[in-house]
Amino acid sequence: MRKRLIPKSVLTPVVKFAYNLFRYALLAGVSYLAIFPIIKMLSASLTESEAFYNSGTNFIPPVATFQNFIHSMQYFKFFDYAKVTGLITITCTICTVFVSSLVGYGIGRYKFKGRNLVYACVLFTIIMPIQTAQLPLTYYYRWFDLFGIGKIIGLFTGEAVTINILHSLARFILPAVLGVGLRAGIFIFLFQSFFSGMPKDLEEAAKIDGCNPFKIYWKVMIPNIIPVLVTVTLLSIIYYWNDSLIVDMAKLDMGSALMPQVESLVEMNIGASQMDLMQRKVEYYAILITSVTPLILVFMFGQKYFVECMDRSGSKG
Amino acid sequence: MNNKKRRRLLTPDDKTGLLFVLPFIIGFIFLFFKPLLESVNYTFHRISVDANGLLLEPIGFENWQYLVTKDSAFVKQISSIITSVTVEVLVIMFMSIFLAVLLVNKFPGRLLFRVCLFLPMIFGADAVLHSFGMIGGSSEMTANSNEFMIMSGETTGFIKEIISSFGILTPLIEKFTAYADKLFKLLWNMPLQIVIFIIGLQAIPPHLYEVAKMEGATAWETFWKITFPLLTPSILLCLIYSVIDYFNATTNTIVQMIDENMVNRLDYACTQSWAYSLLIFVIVLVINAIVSRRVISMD
Repeated sequence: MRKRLIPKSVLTPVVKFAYNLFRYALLAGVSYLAIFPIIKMLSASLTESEAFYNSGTNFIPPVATFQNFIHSMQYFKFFDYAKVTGLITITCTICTVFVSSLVGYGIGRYKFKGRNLVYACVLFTIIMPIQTAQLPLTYYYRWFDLFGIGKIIGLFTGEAVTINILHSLARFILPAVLGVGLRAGIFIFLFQSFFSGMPKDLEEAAKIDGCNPFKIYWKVMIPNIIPVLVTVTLLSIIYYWNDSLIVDMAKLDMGSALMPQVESLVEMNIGASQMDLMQRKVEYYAILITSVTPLILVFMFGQKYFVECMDRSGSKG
Repeated sequence: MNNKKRRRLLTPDDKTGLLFVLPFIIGFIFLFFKPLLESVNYTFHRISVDANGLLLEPIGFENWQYLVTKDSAFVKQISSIITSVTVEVLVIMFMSIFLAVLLVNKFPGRLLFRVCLFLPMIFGADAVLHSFGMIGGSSEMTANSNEFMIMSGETTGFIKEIISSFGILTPLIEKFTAYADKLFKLLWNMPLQIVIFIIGLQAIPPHLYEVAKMEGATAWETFWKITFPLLTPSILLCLIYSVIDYFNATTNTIVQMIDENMVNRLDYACTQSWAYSLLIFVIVLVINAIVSRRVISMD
């Protein structure tokens, strides 16, 4: 109760009650609208296909069954796909979050020469639809040549040295390390706006104590923006896990990623009979629910810290 | 930065600043700018895919000419999207600030509401979005974003049934549910904005509110004199994010158009996406120029 929008003295109990009622009604309505499809999806995945065919979905399935989950697991190799996607997600998220916080810190706290240009470049990476650069990038990774080193070697040996990293994990980690990973621009943008909003005296006090710039960033600034850090990490995990566009373009050696496989199930079903279709539908929902379960677990685990951190940030003043 | 004279011009602050952003600069040049330049090059060629790579056949400005003079569908979509983005982003901004204000203070059940409003973010995969149309029992299982609307129609259909069973004026309900349909779509674009605003609200020093209270300011005054000005950095952030997010969403018709063309008319798809991106860039710069002057920093 650090602050209120309406001062206490004004609030007679009646007004307060009305305000609470209004708030609950509004939030309940909005929440209902937001999660309605999710509830429907969940209940459909728990319904038998025959019941689904006859009555559609209700909020509570007539007979709850895990049949769809069990059956869909037989042909959908969830754990194989999840392993690949999980590996990409974890490594890339760590890299992306760390690097984008560094870059965001640089842009947010230092008025260096060319800052505006770099900032414009960051904005540009957010704005440009990623599909545009995907094709040239594919060829770049196919005949990969680290910053032209291979070409320089090629001057002596007669043939430029290139490696094919198109189907390896490096194809994802490299952009993540260099701050142009999936939606990294948005994260840089978020970080810079929160870093630039921090009071100057913190930094100056640390400088007087003899901290070098990196130490200031690591020891002073990062602990102060933990809510943003947690948010960004969560978002990055969600984006990487749910991404189907980029991982789809690279057929990985390790096996396929999750979401492209889920999407390919949709196309498989065109032309099936009505009854068959119902069966596949409910199973498809079961697969969808299974696919996002890890994210829900991460969110539930992170939620505690997430909310706590959001609250702690305020008390700093 | 290669010559010595230039290097001496850089202050220590410049150097550390540049050091921090160095990874991004490298990444931007090699993994973003270079491929992009190549894709600009594509717009001036006719492309065919070969086993060894791409075959480029120069055709000059033909693609661009076609885009501006002949592709009426694209131009029409652009103009319609600009009108809808203005309305929708404004609604998103108002609603997310409003919801963030409601969700910022402690009250029983706050966690539940926060989770509910954040869940669409987790379910944001294309596979999920495409699937919404199928719940209603439509016979085709195709991935079509328009089916997103069918789903939302069903959402409000349920409410409609309940309300009309009470026998209240139907035209009024029709109107209300039409808005609720849109609201549903907006809500699925809103979670991040709400989170940013909650963080922004909580960063406002509480002693300011205490002072305002002692001075006898009303809630209305407190909001406009304290909360709103100190929220302006978050507002700018959300505004730009929302605009970009709206333009680049996979449910967007133009993005779909570009995606379709990527398969068979690669060069033209590049042209379209360049024209589109330049437009977004200009819009974002204009918004930034207008709003950033009004942003109040904490210092």
